[in-house]
Amino acid sequence: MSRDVDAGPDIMRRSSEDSSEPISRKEAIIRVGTAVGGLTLATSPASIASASNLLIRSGKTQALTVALSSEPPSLFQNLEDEPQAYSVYDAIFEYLVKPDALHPNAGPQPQLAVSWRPISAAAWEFKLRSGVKFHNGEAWDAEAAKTNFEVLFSIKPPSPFVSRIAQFDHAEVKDTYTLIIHTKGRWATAPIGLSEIQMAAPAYLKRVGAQTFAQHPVGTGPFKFAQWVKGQAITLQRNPNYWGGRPNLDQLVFRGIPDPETRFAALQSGEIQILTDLNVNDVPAANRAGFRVAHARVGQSILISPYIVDAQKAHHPIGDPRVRLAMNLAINRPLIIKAILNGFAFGLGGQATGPDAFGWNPYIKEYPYNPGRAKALLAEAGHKNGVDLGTFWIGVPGQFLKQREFAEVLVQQFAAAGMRVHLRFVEYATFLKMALQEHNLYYMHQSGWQYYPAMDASFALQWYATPNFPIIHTGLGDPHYDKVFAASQATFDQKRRLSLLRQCQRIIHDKPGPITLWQHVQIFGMNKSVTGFTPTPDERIHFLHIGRK
Amino acid sequence: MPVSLPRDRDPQFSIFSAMKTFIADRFLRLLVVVIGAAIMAFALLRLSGDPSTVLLPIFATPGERAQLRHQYGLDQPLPIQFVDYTFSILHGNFGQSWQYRQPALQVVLDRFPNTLELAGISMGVAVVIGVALGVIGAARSGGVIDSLLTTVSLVARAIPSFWLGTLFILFFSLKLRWLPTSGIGGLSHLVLPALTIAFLFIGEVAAVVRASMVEALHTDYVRAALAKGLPTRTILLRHALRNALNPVISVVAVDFGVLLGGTVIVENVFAWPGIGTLAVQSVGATDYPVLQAIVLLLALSVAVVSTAADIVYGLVDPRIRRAV
Repeated sequence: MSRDVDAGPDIMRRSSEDSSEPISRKEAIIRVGTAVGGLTLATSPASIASASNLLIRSGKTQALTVALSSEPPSLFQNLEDEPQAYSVYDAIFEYLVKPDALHPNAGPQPQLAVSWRPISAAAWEFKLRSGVKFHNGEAWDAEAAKTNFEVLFSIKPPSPFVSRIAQFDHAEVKDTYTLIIHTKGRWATAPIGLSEIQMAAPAYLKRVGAQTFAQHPVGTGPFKFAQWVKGQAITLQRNPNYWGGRPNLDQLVFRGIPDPETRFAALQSGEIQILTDLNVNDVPAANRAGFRVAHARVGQSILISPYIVDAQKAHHPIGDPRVRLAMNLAINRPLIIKAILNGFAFGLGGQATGPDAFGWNPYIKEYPYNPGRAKALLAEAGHKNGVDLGTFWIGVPGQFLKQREFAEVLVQQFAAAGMRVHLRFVEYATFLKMALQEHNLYYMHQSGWQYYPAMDASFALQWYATPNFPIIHTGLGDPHYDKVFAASQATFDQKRRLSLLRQCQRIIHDKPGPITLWQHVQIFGMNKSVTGFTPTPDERIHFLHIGRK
Repeated sequence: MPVSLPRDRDPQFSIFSAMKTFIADRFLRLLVVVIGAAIMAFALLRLSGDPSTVLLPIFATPGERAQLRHQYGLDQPLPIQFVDYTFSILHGNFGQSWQYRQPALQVVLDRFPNTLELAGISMGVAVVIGVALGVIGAARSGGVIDSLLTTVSLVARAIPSFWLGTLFILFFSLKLRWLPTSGIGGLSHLVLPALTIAFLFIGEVAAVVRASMVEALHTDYVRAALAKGLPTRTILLRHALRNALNPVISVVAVDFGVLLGGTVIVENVFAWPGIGTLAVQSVGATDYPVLQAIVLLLALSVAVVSTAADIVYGLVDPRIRRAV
């Protein structure tokens, strides 16, 4: 038998045949034993999951297996915000409105709501889509939406999404397909705020509770939940009654494979067809092996933010805007992106978001690399002989591409401009614990401000407004910024909002607030049989139009 | 003058009563270990800080944090917390997993059989191959084969499991295409992770067996067997090996704990859904109730295996019983 890469189809046939014939335990043991001993070739069955997929495929049924970097803890986003599971969530569930991740300026798009408008300073009216049914046959209507919000606010400990829609007050059913959302004051961004809340089958959700529901979810999306064998695979089946058209795939299988090299090996062996988070070092090998590599710039900006605990008492060099500007000028971003990140990152243009966000300011230029000017600024700030900036806290490597490598280069570049920084990798929870215990310090921490799926700059810019509670924060402490940002959140006029958000970006750049770095990238590897895949910045794979040739 | 016989040679002596004392002693020790592990798990959870930093958004108010601490009883004095904690774990209640929002013990028990299966089979493979190599090495003591086996054993112990696992995947899954790269689902999925773990212990088992066998082969009863003209195979397997196997029991018992901990890396490489991968995920998500349940379950498993090994050892070797 062939041992080269052409063995793929041969194995596929054999696997299909093997899986149709049950083998005895004795025979299985003999097969494994002979395989281990190297006495026979290819007598062991390949993965049961992949074999069944291939069987389905050969039977003119389209199936696709996707490897995620971990198995999600639950299948209900309202309960657990797990970025790795976004693709699974979105295959099962839908939202009132859905941001167009590729065209943020187009605003949110209709999904389970067909239109929406503010009807007063503290209320929005949503007209809902009629004729939609949940996978279990329950009808989608205003009562269903209201129940979903009630359950969301009753979850203990609180759902992570509750704080994101803090201005939500209550929902009211006006008629079967009209929902009124009452808000706490003017909430101009209500549609995009609500675009993260999934709509679940209400009666079933209430009957079994959110925890049980999360193990056997029921939504209105293009795929319905079929089976979850913990630790093995999550299987979804095509929803034949999907209102938005017929999905190309009949079956979707998700597997959690934590090790990036094993994920890539699984792609090479044909066990999976798409993998998320391809290791940047494996990109050339994937290209050489004939796989398709796609990357999406993710709606998440990476910055170094000064975290402030009790600004009145804080005395730290990075409290001085001149020092922060010097830090921004000390970084050679193009070099790091090219040499360390292999080109898999995009500049932010000196702002809190990338250009793919609504509110990005095209008139602001990226900070130039100018260590000489950085030194001059430090001297101006009273640090003629350089300055000790203390600890640069950075998340445990793995959160972002080549995190350790770029952090070490940043430290060197700061040092070259006269700024001494001690690098410390720490889990976010540990960092928070330390920050909350000590109340007179500035903390320099690497942040990743997520502004997807809405792709709206306000999701990142909000962190620089002065908070109304005296705990750790990243606020600029600038009354003018606070005023402009508050105005952007209150206006219903999109043009005015765009202008106000751009003003916020300008203030952040000129002051400056954070030390801006670059935009995160997600890399996918896939078999060339996969069609209809479009990388999007929301860390999701949209399966409706994906198929296999 | 009356001659005092060893206790187990005394006609009045019952092996059952001796074993009863022995087993009671071992169970007492097991209890101490478990209580110690429970105290450590409690202390670790408290030392790890305020769960509100993990469960609540960074900018949560002091009021919201206080409410959460009250909800988890963390605003109570430590002794009261410890009493509550002990009472809860005695009822099998380790609290809710913060990540899974399910009972922590249930989350761990869902994965534990997978780890036990992997650990058990790995240890079985290690013992079978290790004993075989040890016997061959001892039989050819000082020769080329012995030196070769000793070198191989040393190399096997020195190879990092994550590297070996990746190598196995490249060779068996991608080059030969015999076995799946990862996951769980059948015996074929078990082969590579079990072999990877077994490799770590084969060398150790082989070294112990070889040393015991060499010692046994120089004893009088082996010389007597040789003088009787018994075949070498019989002498090796029926006389020397039987006596040389006792230390293997100790090695297996001690290594079982190491093995359970060692599966963390291998489980991660092969996406094997055991408590190793769960522990990694729980550390990442700072899911302390799950970590606490894992710590206690592992401590209990190691203690039970050690106790079982002691009892088996006591059964096969009267000297151990007498030591109680």
